[in-house]
Amino acid sequence: MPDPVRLWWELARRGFRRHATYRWATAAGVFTNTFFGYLRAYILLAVHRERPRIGAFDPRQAVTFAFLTQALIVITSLWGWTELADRIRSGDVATDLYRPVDLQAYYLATDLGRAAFHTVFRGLPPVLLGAVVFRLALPGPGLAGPIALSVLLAAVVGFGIAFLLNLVTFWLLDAQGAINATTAVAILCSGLAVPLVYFPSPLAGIVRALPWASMIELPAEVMLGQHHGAGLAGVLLTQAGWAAALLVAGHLLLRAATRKVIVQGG
Amino acid sequence: MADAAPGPLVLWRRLAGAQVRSQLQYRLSFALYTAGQFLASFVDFLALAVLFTKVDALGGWSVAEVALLYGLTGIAFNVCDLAIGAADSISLKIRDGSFDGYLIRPAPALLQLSADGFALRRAGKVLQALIVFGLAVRLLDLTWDVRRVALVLVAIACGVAIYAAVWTATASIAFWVIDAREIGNAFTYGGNFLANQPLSIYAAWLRAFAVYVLPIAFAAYLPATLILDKPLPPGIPAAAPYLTPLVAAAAVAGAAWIWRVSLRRYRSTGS
Repeated sequence: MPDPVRLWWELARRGFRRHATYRWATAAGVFTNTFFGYLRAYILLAVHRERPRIGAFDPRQAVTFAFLTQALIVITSLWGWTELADRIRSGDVATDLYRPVDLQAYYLATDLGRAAFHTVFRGLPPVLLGAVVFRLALPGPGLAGPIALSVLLAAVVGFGIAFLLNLVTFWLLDAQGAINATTAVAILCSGLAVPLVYFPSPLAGIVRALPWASMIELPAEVMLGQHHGAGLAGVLLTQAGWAAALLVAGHLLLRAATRKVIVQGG
Repeated sequence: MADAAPGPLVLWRRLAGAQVRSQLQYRLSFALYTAGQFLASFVDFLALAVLFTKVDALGGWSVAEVALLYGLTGIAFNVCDLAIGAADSISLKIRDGSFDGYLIRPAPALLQLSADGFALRRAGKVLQALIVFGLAVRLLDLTWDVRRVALVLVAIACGVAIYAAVWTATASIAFWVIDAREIGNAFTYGGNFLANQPLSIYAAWLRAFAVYVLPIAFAAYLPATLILDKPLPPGIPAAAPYLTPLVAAAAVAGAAWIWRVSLRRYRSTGS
């Protein structure tokens, strides 16, 4: 393999392996996600008892959605991370910037490795455990390709947002406030707290166009088989559009930061 | 000329007060954080509002009734979070050794742990719950006699006690398997999320769990059925709501025992 590709692969492998060592945290996470999945499933079932069909959702799809969203919030790091922010605050980012690797690409490759680990070991288990009690509407094998692409794009969108928030540290010295605020918006606008199709008409369209929908709601809908043909292409393009836009923004912001930066600790 | 050691409440106030003073040093940061927490805590309520644009009732409860339940559980949970939410940091403190520092001081470890991590900005979440509760009261057409007011006060007090019990018991996990402590979050935050919705929406097994195993149903769904004159879901004995204070006391006693036993084991096995 040519050199850069080998590098991204090795970084991804390390990201995967690092998270694989957190065995108890993974188990605890699966437990929590499963618990919340069950709670959200019952809430949606209660809604569908009053109104059997909402948008393209029937009760079985709604229940499946509850577990799929739990998987996706972990795969896409909805709650963000502060690794880079911590390194900026401590000044260690200076050594990172000396490396002959683009900082954003470095973090992206590592994060995709993590996302791969989480897809298998934190995404799958809650869905399987949900299937113990509920009859889930799981996708057929024909959709495997679009689903894989959709989840991959969702992970990139999630990374893009988290990366930008970490870069905020260059100016604000503390990213946590920005992360908390963004996470609150994300919970509401991603489809986690309530399926976006529940939003009343003009709001639903707006919310679906935001990046958080591309992280959670859209890939979940693809997995439920709600999109085909041109519609499916449209959804994937929306996700790809946000992924690209966020990566470009991250790249530009990083350039701006490294031009005039005050590195803490000298 | 040494004074007698101050009582626990005075001690807690002094330690927490020191935290507050240091937090207020950074006024703008504190204001932003508090405002952020306050606004962010509305997200769950907004989600509820969106949900109710599609249906008129959830498990037989109207939007105003669910809002009242949400307000009650929110006040109880967030007052508890304000008081002992810092217990979440127990794993961190055990790992970096600062928890052991609590053990050599002449004050209860749990008190020090919670006072040390006291964050006044969490008060924003209590305010949010109070606002939702007030809104619900406005929307509901109830006569607020002494009985109802008393029920609300008892519900909140018992709710705080039950959440405190859950918090302390799950923090104790850190003394046994430190890496497994995060599982406790499913019971504290998950428990609160469960309690926000009327129990009637859950399947029988989950209802039984929330009444007999992790008594979250008593904080505050069961008292709320008395406040709102709502029927109980099948399988719950009619006397249950009246047992709330008893259950709260039992939960606190149970959690205190779990904490003491776990701390004793931690002490004896060294660090």
